[in-house]
Amino acid sequence: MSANEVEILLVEDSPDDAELALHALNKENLARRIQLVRDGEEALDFVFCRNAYAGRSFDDPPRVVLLDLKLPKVDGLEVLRAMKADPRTRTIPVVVLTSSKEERDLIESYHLGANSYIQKPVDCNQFRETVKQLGLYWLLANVPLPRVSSAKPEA
Amino acid sequence: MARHGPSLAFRVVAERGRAFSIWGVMKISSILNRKVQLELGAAVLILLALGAISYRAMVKASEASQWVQHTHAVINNLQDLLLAMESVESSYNGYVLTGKESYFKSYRASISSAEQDVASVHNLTLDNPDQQRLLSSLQRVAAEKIQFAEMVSGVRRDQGFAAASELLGHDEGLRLMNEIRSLTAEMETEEKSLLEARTAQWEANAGRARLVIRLGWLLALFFLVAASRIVYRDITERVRTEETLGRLAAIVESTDDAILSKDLEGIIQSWNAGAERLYGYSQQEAVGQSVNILVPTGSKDANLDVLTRMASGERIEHYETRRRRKDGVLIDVSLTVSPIKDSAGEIIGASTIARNITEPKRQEAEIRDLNRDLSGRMADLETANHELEAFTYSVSHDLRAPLRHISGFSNILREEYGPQLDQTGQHYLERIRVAATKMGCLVDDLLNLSRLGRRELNRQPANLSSLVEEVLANLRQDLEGRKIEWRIAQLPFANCDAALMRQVFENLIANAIKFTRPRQPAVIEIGQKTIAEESVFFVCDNGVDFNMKYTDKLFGVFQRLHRAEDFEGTGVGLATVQRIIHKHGGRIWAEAELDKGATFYFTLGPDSRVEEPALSAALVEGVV
Repeated sequence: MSANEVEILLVEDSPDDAELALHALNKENLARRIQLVRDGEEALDFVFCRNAYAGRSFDDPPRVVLLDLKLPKVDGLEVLRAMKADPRTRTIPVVVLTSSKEERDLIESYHLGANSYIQKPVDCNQFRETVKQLGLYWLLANVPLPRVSSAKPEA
Repeated sequence: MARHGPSLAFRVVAERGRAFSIWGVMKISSILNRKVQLELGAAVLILLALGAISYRAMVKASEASQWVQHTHAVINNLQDLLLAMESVESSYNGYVLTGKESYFKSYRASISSAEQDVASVHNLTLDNPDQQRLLSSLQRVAAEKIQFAEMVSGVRRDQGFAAASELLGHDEGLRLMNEIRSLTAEMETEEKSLLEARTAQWEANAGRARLVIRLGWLLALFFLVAASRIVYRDITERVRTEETLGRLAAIVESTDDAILSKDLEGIIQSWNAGAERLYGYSQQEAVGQSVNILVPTGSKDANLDVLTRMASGERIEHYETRRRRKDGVLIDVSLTVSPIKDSAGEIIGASTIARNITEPKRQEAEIRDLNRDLSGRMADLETANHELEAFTYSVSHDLRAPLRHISGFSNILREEYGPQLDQTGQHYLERIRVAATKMGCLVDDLLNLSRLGRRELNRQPANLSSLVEEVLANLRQDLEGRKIEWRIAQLPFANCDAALMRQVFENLIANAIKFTRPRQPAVIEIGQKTIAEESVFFVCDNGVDFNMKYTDKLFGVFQRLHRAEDFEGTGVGLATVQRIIHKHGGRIWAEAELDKGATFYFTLGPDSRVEEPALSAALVEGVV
């Protein structure tokens, strides 16, 4: 899988949650276009095309970022802040997907420019359903910003 | 003395012999004394002069009386002389007529008496040349007369009566005798006129002396009265002042405040009992010492600075400072320093009123400490609250995730690998899933409860009946297949947090529904009554009762009075209800009757009452 073809960036430090999410997406045949990163730093590397992801281009942004808030190194809100502060990454849709029910997280996320805020349901069926809906909505229903590279004539 | 008012307080102590600087009093008494002394001195001088004048007048009077006596003596002697001369005349005439020797003897005796009288008169009139001249004329005529008598006597003895009588017939004797009479009378007259002149002069002198003495008496009397009036006034004022001073001194002595005076060099001049008590120095120890004995080391300049500033006329505001007692203990005092002025208005020292404020200060400090303590504890409490928040956050996040994983993977297991498990395996799998779900509910309830603690009440007039209706509509799902007889009274409006009150009714009604499950039919009553002027709401059911013994455990978190197999629940619902009611300032309690069910009562506190006008207004504005 090429990093350039990534449609969903899943930022999730819990391997269990990641596996459950991937399982749910898999069932809908969406899993092959998913990139999983395990902390905030790696998430920033990915979206800002640096370090291990230096080969990526800003011209191929993911269709959606599913962002957990409680992350090692750099936490989710910091990732969100950095993305929404930079014009190159500001237009990437970010869905906060968290188990936090804290009002301040919700408010802070929206203030930083989160496009959606989803609480991970405790019930696994609901969780699976939610992930499925997310994948379908952002990859199929939502119309993304036209790609800059395709709009520009190739040299 | 009252006009020297400003230094009164100072003199109070001065006059009590407590201080040495008694300028004010000295000045006043010396002014007084000079005036009185002048007046008394004048009176005494006048009296002395009067004495002298009287003495002189007396001497004069005695002189005058001597002159009277003198004059009388002269006149008597002159008359004696005249008598003697007449006796000479008659005796030699008798001798001539009779020739008897006895007449001649008498004649001799008369001559000798006459000579004596002349000598007396001569002596008496030595100071008067006129009289002396008259006397010598008289002597001469008397000598002539005697010579004539001798001659006649000799003729009688030698030539007999006829010759002698012839001589007598010439009337020479009579002429001489008349001359003697005339001279004597002249001398008498002279002496009398002299007496008259002297008497007149003496009387004039005596009259003047009387006048002078009278005037002198009047003057002396005037001065005495004036002096005594001043003295009387002075004494009255002194007495009055003494009384005032005594009163002031009593005040100064009896007050708890330390009152002391000092001169401009800071030397203590007076020291009251309050000062003895406050500072521990006796009056004897303190007076004469510098006030610096009271000043803790290191702040001496400030004290003298105050004196200097005050001496330059600056008004010293009341201030607080620290003083050292005799025993070395430091005390906080509040000081009022005011200038002491002499009668000329010059500042000559200062009086200080000191009050011990150590205790108030200590209490103030204590309150400050307590406040600091309290703020510290508040901060601790806040920290604890934050920690609790962090804890609930981590519970919400960290505890939920593994639960989700358990149910997630058991779900996948069931769906994708279910056919490979036998019935028992599938049963266990189901138990795992149910347990995880239940724990999720527990965590959610707990978080709700903890969030309640932090939430601010949002009070607004709310229709409680509407709230109950909403709750019943939401519970419809739980009511499927149940037969329940509802008895719902009209409830009033209440000024409360509607969202939280909905939770209260939801929990209480759900509770009632749950515990009436074994009843056919179930009866649930929701109402309100007034007990002791307080509006009490209640939810009553005919369900399973509970043991009143455990009524205090009813509202505790995780406290359950029934077995989980009988009645499901997390044991958080009633705890949540209680917390909401307490937040509203109300009370909640429960009663149970064996086999008759349970009733939950609650009140909403005084702040929740909605007055009719407010309610009408709220209705008009569409708030409720």
